[in-house]
Amino acid sequence: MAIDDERLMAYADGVLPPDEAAEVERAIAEDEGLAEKMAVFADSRAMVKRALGPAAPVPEKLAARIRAMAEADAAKRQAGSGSAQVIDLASRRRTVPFWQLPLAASVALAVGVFGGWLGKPESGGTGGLAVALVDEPALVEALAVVKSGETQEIGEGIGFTAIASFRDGAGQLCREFEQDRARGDTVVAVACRADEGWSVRFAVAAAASDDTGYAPASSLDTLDAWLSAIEAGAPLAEDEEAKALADLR
Amino acid sequence: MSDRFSNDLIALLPNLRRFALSLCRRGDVADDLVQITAERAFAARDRFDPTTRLDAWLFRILRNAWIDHARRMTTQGVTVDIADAPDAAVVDGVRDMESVLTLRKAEAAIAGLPEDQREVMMLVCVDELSYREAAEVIGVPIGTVMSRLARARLAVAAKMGIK
Repeated sequence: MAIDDERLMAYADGVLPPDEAAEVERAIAEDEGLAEKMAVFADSRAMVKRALGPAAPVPEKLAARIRAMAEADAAKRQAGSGSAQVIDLASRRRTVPFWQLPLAASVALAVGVFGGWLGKPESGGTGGLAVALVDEPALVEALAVVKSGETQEIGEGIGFTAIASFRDGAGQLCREFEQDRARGDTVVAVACRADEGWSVRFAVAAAASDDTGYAPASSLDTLDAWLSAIEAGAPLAEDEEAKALADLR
Repeated sequence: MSDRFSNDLIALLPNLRRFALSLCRRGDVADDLVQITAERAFAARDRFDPTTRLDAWLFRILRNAWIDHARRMTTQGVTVDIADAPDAAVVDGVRDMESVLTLRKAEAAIAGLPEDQREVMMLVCVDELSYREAAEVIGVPIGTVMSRLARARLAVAAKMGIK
């Protein structure tokens, strides 16, 4: 059997099983050309290893960032074994990592151009949100009772998912939620509670690029920027949220 | 903090960055790839099988991050940042001028390989992964790794004048 380059290389690297290695050895003994080529394989490996030497240290800035990551990871693991679980805003969102998104995934509209989405309330039902005050009974009800992380149907083909509750810089209770229509858009919105009732303070409609209905991460970047602008506090823990909602009644 | 996973990962950063450089050849991009790799590794650490090699697992994450990056940056030209050439720190007094020149030639020969060959060369000859581990990093059959590696080594040897 002829000795091909791959087997000769594997022999030079010392990874052939004994019976195959013996076969290569016999072939090498009879063929000077083969012996030379085997030496080339051995030399090239040693040469490459020496030429590149040990890996150079990474820049200190990069090393520091990754040490910080390791510390954050350790802290998170420790917290995870504790009792009071805080609702993590980012992880509660049903997002697709940015690297899996088509580049064309787009934010269709934001607050102010909200009307396009409101435009056609079929049969005057629970199709829309009012930008100023929410007067849809189903939505008002959902805001008052649906726990973060849960979904409730608030109209024909319209899903309401509570994402998180938090207080803004002024202490107002706010709720981030998603509204999904059976066909088409997902709206990510934040409603805050004032004396008169719930008002929608932020909304982004994300054109669903496929049937998963996931909001593209880019629209959530907008939300994150807005949340920091209103000094949104950390998401309320489950028991805090339950109490805050009970207090509204 | 005595966390073996974190410590091992941090110890492997130089190897990760060197592999990143062999793929993208740009220091800034290599740093980004290493950072993304670390982020993804911490996020997925529960899925790492501790009976396998951590470096092979991390190389695979890094390679996938590089492919994601390359898809988004199709217009990027290929440039080699000399300060970031993998050998920058290894010229020491023990080596005489001739061997330094020889090693520079070897580096140039490696840099001139097609990307798929350079990658297996780095994984097997430099980071000493087995053929099978390299195949898992790249996601190709072991036979493909062996044929790329054999071609790469013959090509480097030919450029170096080794016969």
